[in-house]
Amino acid sequence: MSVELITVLMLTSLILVIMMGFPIGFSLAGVATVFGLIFVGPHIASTFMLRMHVTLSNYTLIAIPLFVFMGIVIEKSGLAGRLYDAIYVLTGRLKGGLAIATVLTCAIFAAATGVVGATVVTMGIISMPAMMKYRYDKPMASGAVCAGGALGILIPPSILILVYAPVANVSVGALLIGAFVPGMILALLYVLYIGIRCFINPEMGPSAADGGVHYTFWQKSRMFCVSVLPVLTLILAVLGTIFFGLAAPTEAAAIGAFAAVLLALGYRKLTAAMLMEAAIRTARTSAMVYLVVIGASFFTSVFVRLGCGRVIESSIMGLPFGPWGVLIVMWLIIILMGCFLDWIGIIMIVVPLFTPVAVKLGFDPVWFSLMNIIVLQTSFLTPPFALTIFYLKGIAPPEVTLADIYKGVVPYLLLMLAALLLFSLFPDILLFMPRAAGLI
Amino acid sequence: MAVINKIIRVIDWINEKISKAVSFLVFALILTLTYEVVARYFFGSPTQWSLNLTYFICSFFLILTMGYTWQLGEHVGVDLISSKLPRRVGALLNAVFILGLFFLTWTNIGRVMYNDMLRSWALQERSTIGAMPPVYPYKTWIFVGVVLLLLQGVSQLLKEIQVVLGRDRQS
Repeated sequence: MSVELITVLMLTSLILVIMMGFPIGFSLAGVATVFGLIFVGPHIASTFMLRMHVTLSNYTLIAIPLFVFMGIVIEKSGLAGRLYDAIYVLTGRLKGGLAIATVLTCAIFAAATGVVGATVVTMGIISMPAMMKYRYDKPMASGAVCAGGALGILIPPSILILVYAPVANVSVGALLIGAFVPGMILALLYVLYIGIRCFINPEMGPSAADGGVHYTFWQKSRMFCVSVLPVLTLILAVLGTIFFGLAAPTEAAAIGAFAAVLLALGYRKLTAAMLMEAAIRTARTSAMVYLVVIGASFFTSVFVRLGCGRVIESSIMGLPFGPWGVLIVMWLIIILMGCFLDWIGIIMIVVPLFTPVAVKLGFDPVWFSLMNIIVLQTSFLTPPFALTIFYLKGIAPPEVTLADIYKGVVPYLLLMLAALLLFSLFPDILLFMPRAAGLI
Repeated sequence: MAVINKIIRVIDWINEKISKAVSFLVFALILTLTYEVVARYFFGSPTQWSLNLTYFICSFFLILTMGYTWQLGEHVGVDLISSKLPRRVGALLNAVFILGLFFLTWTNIGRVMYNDMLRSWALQERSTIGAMPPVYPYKTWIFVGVVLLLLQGVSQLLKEIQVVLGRDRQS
C-alpha cells in the first residue's frame, strides 16, 4: 500500500471516529494502534509506552494542573463580580460603558483563569442582566461576552499555550510572553469598536451610571485597589518571573496557584470544601488534557514513522499559491475545523503537520504559533460547534435569542481578521516582547 | 442483570474513591515547586530532588484519575452527530469503538508495561536525571493507572451494551 493511501486512510478514519463522538484522546490512540499494528508491527506498543513516559515526565506540561488549579480557585473566589463592579464604576458613564467593562473584565478574568467556558458563564451571569436592564443592543452585548471569553485561550497564562508549545517544539516562555501583546490589542480593538458604535448610535448602549449611586474619587480608588490591583499583580507577577527568567514557567505556575489561594483567603472565600473541590476538578481537567496529549503522541509517532508527515508536507508545499497563500489555506483549515472540533483536537491534529511547512517556507515559528493561537479563538465563536455561544445561551436572560448571539459574534470575528492582517504586515508586534526577554 | 449492575457499580466506586483520594496531591505539587523557588532565591540552595519529585507527584494523580474522568464523561469529544443519533445506535457505535479501539490500544500497552515493570524491579532501575531516585515505584503506579483505566473501560462497555439492549435504568 502506498504511503499516500495510508496517509489519507489514517486521517479519514481518525476524523470519522472523532465525529462519531468517541473521546478525542482514545480516538487518536486507537487509530494509531490499528495502523501501527498493521504497518509497523506488534513492537509499536513499546513505542507507545515510551511516548507515555516522555509525556508524563515532561516538565513544562506539569504547569497544566497548576494553572487549572489557579483558575478554579480564582473563579471560586468571587473575583469576577468584584472586577466588574470596579471597572464599570470607571466606565459606566461612557456610552457603551457596560459593554466596555464586560470586555475589560473578561480580559482580566480570562487571563487569570485561562479557561474560556468559565469566563463566558461567569461573565454572562454577571453582565448580561445589567446590560439588558439598560436596554443595550442584544447582539452587541452578547458578542462582547463571547469574544471577551475567547480571549482566555490567548491572554497568558493560558492552558492552550502550554499544550501548544511542546507540540510545535517552540519555547513555552516565548509563547506565554508573546501572547500578551496581541491579547491586549484585541481587547483594545473590541473596546474601540463598542465605543465608536455607541457614540454614533447611543441607542445601542446608553450610559448607565446616572441612575446609580455616585462614588467619590476615593471610593473609586479603593474599589480599584481591592478588586483590580491584586489580580493584576498576580498575573503580572507570573508573567514577570517568566519574562525576567527568574523561574521556569512551571515554577511560575506553582507560585500563581499558591498566590490564588492567598487571594481567595483575602476575599474570605477560602474553605476546606472549596479547596477539595478545586483539587478534584483540577485532577479531572488535567487528566482530560493529558489523555489527548498522550493519544496525539501515539498518533504522531505512527504517522511520522510511516512517512505520512512528508506526504502532507510535500502536498501543502506543492500548492500553487506562494508562501502567504499556503498560510492562508492553513488558517482556513483551522477555522473550518473550528466549526466542528474543540481547540485541543485541532492543535493535536494540525500543528504537527503545519509547523514544519511554515518553518520551511521561512516564517518564524513563534510568530506562526501566535498567529495560529489567535486564529484558534474563532473555534469558540463559529457555529455549529461554538462553545461560547452555547454557554452564553444557557445562562443569558430568555429574551436573548440564539440568533442575537450568532449575529453578535460576527463583528468581533471581523476584528480578529483585522488584527491578523495587522500582525501579518508588522510581525514585530508579536515578536518584540519574546525578543526583549531573550527567549528567541 | 443484577450481576452486571453490581460490576458497574463496584468499578465506578473504586475509580471514584481512588481519584478523590489522590487528587489532594495537587497541593503537594504546588508546595514542592513553590519551595524549590524559595529555596533557590532565599536559601541559595536549589534542591536536587525537585525535578523528579514533581513529575512523580503529577503522574501519580493524573494516571489514577483517567478512568474516573471517563466515568463522568469528561474526556473531550465531539457530540455534534452522535447526539442526533438514536440513543441505541450511538451506544452501539461506542461499544464497537471501546472494543475495537480502546481495548486494542490499552491491553497492548498494559502488557508491555507489565513486563517493563517486572524488569525495572529486578534491575532496581534508577532514574538518569536529577537526584537519580528509583523509578520502579513510578512504573508500578503508571501500570496500576492503566489497569484502572482498563477496568473503567469494562464498566463503560457494559453501560453501552445495556443501552443497546434497552435495559438501562432510564428506559
